[in-house]
Amino acid sequence: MKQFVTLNMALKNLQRRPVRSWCMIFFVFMLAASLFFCTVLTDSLSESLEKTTNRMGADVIVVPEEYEKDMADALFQGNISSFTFDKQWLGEITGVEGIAKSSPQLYLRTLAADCCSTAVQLIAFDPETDFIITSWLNDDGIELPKKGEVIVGSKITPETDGNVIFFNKPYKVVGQLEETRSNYDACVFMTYETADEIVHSDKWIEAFGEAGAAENLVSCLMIRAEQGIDKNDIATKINYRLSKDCPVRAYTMNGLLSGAMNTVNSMDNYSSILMILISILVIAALVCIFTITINERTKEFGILASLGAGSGKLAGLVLSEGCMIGLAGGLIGVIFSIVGLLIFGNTIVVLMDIPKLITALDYLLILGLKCMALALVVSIVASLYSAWKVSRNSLDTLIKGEEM
Amino acid sequence: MLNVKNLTKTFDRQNRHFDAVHEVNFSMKGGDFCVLTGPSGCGKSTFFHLLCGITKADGGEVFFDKKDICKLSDKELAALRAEKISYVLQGDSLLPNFTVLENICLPHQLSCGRTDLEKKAMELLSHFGLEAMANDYPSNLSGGERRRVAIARAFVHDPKLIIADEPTSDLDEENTAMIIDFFQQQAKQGKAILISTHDLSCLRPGMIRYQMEKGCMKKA
Ligand SMILES: Nc1ncnc2c1ncn2[C@@H]1O[C@H](COP(=O)(O)OP(=O)(O)OP(=O)(O)O)[C@@H](O)[C@H]1O
Ligand SMILES: [Mg+2]
Repeated sequence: MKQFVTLNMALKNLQRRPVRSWCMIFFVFMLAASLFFCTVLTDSLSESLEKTTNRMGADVIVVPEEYEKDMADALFQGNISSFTFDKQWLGEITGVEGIAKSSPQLYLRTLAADCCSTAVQLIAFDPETDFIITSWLNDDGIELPKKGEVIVGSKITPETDGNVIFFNKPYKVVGQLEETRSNYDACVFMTYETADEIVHSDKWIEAFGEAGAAENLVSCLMIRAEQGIDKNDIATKINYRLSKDCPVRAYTMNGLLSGAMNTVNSMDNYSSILMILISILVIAALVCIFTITINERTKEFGILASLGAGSGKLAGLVLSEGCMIGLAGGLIGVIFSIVGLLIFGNTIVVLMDIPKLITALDYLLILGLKCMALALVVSIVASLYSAWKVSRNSLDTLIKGEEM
Repeated sequence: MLNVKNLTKTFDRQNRHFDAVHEVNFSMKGGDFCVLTGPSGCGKSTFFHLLCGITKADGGEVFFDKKDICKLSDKELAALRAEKISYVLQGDSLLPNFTVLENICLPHQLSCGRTDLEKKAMELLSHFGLEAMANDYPSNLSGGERRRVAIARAFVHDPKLIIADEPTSDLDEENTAMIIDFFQQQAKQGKAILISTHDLSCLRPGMIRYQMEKGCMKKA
């Protein structure tokens, strides 16, 4: 009880001045909530990016030059795309040193029309050379799909009969991948044989035109480098080999996603600057409110001093008020943000056009604690000046209730 | 108990020095009830502030329990005010954010950690007929009631010396009598009590009266 008297008195002072207290709490609330949201946004973006790159398991990727951006968007943003180049160009690449594995993939799209279950990204792979998708299948205990069969990502819901319909033809869903929280969750996987069926269906031809045999079409060539070989080196070597009129180029995975990475980095920078500005504003606002109200309360401190409260105790009282404001504002801000995020997360994803938000509770709680710590520090900093003034002032100034 | 020698306090006003308290000699012991009278502005409050170390003297000495309080540090002075010398400020001196009972107990809890004062506080409140208001806020009390609460607060922790600056100003006869009676009764129990007033009607036999004029003090 003895130790708590300062806190108790500070709390009563705040309770008896609700307007002032809530004004200050509001400022801290704004600080905590915006810090929380900014961090969740940037963290979510970089997490998605990292997940995509990790999941991919390829070091270098060869894509048509003008579709490099589409590829990055398909991987990272989940944009659906369809682009191909002729397999013959791959001949120029064979024999480049340092390549451990390479396998072509074909990216096709379906339509948001009656002929298809949904508009999704179809990814065809070659089971003989593939080193990416087959390993996912192994991890999830799923058999290789045969001709006419598909594997779907965790976000795709098959029709009631267990099929998906693409271009008026049903394909049997023989497996569903576990959730990866990357854009692969919204993709459908199949072998080249099945893709061949699709590109030769009437509806496909109607929509996209004659395409020729699927086995001659490639959207991208995934390349894994040999252990210890520099990925940039491989990309450079490949590009050196490719003839001038060749429509494809090799990119390192990081290079391909660099656009997205730059966005994330600059968002990170912007939000840091924003947070510093908001912190300064909030500190300034709190310093003003504190200074004004403490100045009007000099008599109260004078009374306490005349009854034997030392300057340290008076400063402690002011600081305790600051701490409580900080804790209250921080706590309300964090709770508000977490609840808001859980309720409106999907709307935010759509509005801000980002892959997905991190909603793991442990992450949110730790971030919440960090935000509260910042809110607390900011409030303490804001009340330090007043605390210092109260403790430093001569007693008769306090007792006379003069402005400090 | 209290011994003041040649106490002087000089103020500046428009570059002119003047002694608000001039070469004052004064002493009192436990059981004394001293009253300081004098016109407004003669230096009564300043003198009291010097006695409890709120203002620093420019000359002279104040011995309390044989220690010169002019030589004490701020911390020691605070401890002195917290435990031995109780000072009732002139005018309104209740904390607006605390109830009557909290006003009496919490400041002492803050300054010297005493948590055992509630019972004594209620006794004092009922002595002053205020027990029903223990949980009211000061803004709901009349001036006389507030003054009585401030006096209860000055006595609750059992100090040796109580200094009250104009404890009866603006009060009616009934309130004044109640407060003076209480002081007299406390003095009989051995406390040293020093008050100021410019209301000569509250003087009683047995009080030691001092008069102050332009900073100079003499026994009346
Ligand atoms: N901080 C100060 N600076 C300058 N002059 C001061 C200061 N404090 C008090 N004075 C002056 O010192 C003189 C004594 O003031 P003090 O407050 O002690 O008077 P008082 O006897 O208590 O008057 P009252 O009965 O009206 O309360 C007054 O003339 C006052 O103007
Ligand atoms: Mg006075």
